[in-house]
Amino acid sequence: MSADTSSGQTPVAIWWSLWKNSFGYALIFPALFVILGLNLYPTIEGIVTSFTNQSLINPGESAWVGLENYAKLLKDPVFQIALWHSLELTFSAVVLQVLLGLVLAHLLIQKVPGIHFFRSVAMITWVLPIIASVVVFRFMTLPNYGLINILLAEVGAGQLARNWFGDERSAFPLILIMHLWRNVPFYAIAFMAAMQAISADLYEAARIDGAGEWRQFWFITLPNLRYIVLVMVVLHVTFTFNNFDFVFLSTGGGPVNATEVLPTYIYKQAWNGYALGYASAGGVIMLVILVLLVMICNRFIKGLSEQ
Amino acid sequence: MRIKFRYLLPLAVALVATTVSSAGFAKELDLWFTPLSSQGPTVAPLTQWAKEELPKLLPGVTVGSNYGPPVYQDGQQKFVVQGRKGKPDVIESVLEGMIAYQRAGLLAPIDEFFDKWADKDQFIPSTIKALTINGKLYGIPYNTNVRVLLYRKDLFDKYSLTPPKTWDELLQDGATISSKESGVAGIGLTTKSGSVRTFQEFISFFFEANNGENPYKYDDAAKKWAMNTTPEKLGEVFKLYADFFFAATPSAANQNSRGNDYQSTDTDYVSGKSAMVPMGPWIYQYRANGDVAKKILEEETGVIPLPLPPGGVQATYLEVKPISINAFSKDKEDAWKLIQVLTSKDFVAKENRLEGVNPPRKDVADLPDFKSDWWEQAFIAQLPTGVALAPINWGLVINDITEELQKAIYKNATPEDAGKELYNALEQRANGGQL
Repeated sequence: MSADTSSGQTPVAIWWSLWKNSFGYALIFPALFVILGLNLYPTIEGIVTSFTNQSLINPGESAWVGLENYAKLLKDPVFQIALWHSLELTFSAVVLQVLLGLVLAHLLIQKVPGIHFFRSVAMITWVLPIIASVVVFRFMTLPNYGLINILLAEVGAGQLARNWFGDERSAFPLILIMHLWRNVPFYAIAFMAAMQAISADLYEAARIDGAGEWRQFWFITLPNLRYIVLVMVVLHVTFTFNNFDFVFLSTGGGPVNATEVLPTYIYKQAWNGYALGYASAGGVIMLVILVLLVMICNRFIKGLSEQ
Repeated sequence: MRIKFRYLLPLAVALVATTVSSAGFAKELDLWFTPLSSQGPTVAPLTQWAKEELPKLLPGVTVGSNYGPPVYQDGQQKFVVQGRKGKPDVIESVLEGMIAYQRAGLLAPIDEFFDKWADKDQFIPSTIKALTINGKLYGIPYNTNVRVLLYRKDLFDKYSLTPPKTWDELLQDGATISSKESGVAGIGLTTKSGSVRTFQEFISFFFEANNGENPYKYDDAAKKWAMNTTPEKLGEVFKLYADFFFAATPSAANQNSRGNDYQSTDTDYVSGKSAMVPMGPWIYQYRANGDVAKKILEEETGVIPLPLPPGGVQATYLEVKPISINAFSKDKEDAWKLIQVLTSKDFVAKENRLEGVNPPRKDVADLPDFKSDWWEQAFIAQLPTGVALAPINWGLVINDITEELQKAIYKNATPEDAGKELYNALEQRANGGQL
C-alpha cells in the first residue's frame, strides 16, 4: 500500500500492471527455467562439491573438507603446469588466430576468379568434427607412416623426423597448430563479413588523400573491425581455455605433462580417480579465471563503445 | 474435428494397450556389451547372433538392442553416474572397471547364482579368483588373455639370435636388430601418457620384478592398503624402459616412438617395423589388414613368455573381462540368465574365436578349434603365470605410473629417482585413502 502512495498509483492500477507484465514473465519463464536448471544449478552444486571430499565410488561418504581441496590443488605441481599451459595456449592461440584471421580475411575479400570456392573451402576445417581433425593430425605425424616425416625424409631432412605428438618439444606447438588450423578460417570469415560492411567511400577518400594500403588498413579497416575482433576474442578465450578434445585425443596430456591443460587434468581427477570434490575445486578455479578473462575483455569492449 | 477424433481415439487406445501389455508381459533387460557395440570384427556376426539367438535362449525376456558405449572408458563414466537407476541390468567391463563398480556399490554379488550353476567348474580358477573381491564374486569371465613377447622368427634366424629369456638378452637382441635391419626397431612399446596399454605393459614387467605380486597388499590389521614393493623394484623396471631407448646406439626401441599409443605399437609390428613386442592375442585380428600382416603373424611370429629380470619370477598381466549384474537391477534372475548365455560354452567359443582371445572356460579350450590353433595354445600355455590386479581404484595409480615412466624415458628423471617418486606417490594414495 505504501507503494501506492509513493508511486501515486491505485492498487487496481498496480494489479493491472502486474497482470499485463505477467504474460511477459510467463513467456520468458521456460527459458529462464532451462537456464537456471542447466547452468546455475550445476554451477552452484559444483561449487558446493568443491568443499567436500565427494567421490564417485564412495557416494555415501561425502564430508565437508573446507578449503582442503583448493590447498592441495595449488600445491600440486601438475596442476600448476596445467594452469600455466592453459593460459599459455589460450593467449598464444587467440593472438595468432586474430592475426592470421585478418591476413586470411584480407586474402578472401579480394575479387579474383574462383574466390567463392576458396571462401567455401576455408570453412571446412571449422565444420570438421574435432576427433576427425585430431585423427588426421595424428596420422600425419606418426613416426613411420606420417606424411610429415615422409616428406622430411624425401627432402633430405630425415634426421628431423619424429613422433611429433610424442616429443616434448613439438607436442605443445602441435596442439597450438591444431587450434589455428581449425579456427583461423572461422575468424577470417567473420572478419571478412565485417570488412564487407565498411563503406567503400572511406577507402576512396583515403586514396584521394594519398593513403597507401597499409594506412588504409590501419586507419579504416582495423577500427571498423574492433567489435567483431573483441567478440571473437571473448568467444575463443572461452573455447580455448575450456578445450579438452584436442589435448585429450592427441596426447592425453603427455609426454611428461608437456601438454597437460586444466580440462584434461580435471577430467583425470574426476573420471580416473573418481575424486569429484577435488576435481570440482579445479573446475571452480577454472571458472574464476574464465570470468576474470571475460570481464577484462568486456571492459575493453565498454571502453571502445565509449570512444 | 469429429472425423479426426473418430480415428484418433482407437489409435490412442491401441497405443495405450500396446504399452501396457509390453510393460506387463515382456521383461526388458538392458545389456552393455562392448563386443556388440564396438567397431571390431566381432560386431557384425555377434550382433546377428544376438538378434537371432537371444529371443530363443531367453523366452519372455527382451534384450535391448542398444549395447552401450563402444569404448570401455565411456561406459565406465556413464555407469558410475547412472548405475543407481538400475540400467543397464547387465554390464561387461574390463577388470579395472569392475573393481571401480564394486567399490561404488553398483554390482550385485553373484555367488548364489554361480554356486548353483552346473557349468561353474568349467571356469579356470584364476579367472574366477580375479573377479572375487572380499570373498564375493562380482562377475563371470567371458574372455581372458595374458601379455607375452611376440618376436620375428625370420629376423632372429637371419641374425642367428636366440629368443631372449632375460631382460639383458631382450635389450641385446633388440639393439642387434635395430642396428642390422634397416627401418626395423628391435622392440615396439606403448608409452603414451595415461594409456591403459602403457600401464599393462609396465605392470607385466613389474610383476616379474616384484615376485609376481601387486604393488599394494591389503593390511588386515590396519584395515587399509599398504605398499608391497620398494622404490628399487620400481626403479629396476624404469631402468629397463630407459635402457630400451638409450642403452645402445641404435637403441633397442626407436626413440622417435616414445609416446606411441597402442595403435602404433600394433601397426608397427604387423607392418614389419618392429621385431619384438609385448602383446596380447588380439593382434591376430590384424591378419585381415593385408598380406604383409598375415604373413608376419601366421608364419614369422614366435610367442614366448616375457623375459625375466635377475631374480625375477615368470609373471604377467592377466586380463579378464567379466560380465556383471547391476546391484540396482529390478530383474536379477533374468539378468543372471543372460549372463549364463553370454558365458556359455557356445557363446564363449564363438566370441573368443572371432576376437582371437583365450577362453576362460576349460571346455572351450578343449574344443578342437582351440586345441589345434597354435596361436591360442601359445597364449593359453602362459595363462597360469597371469597375475590379476588387486581390487583397488587403479585410475590415478595408472596416471602416476605412466607419468613416472615417461619421466624415465624422456630423461626427465633417472630411473632410480622415478622409482622413488612413484613409490612416494603410490604410498600417498594408500595413506590418503584414495585406493
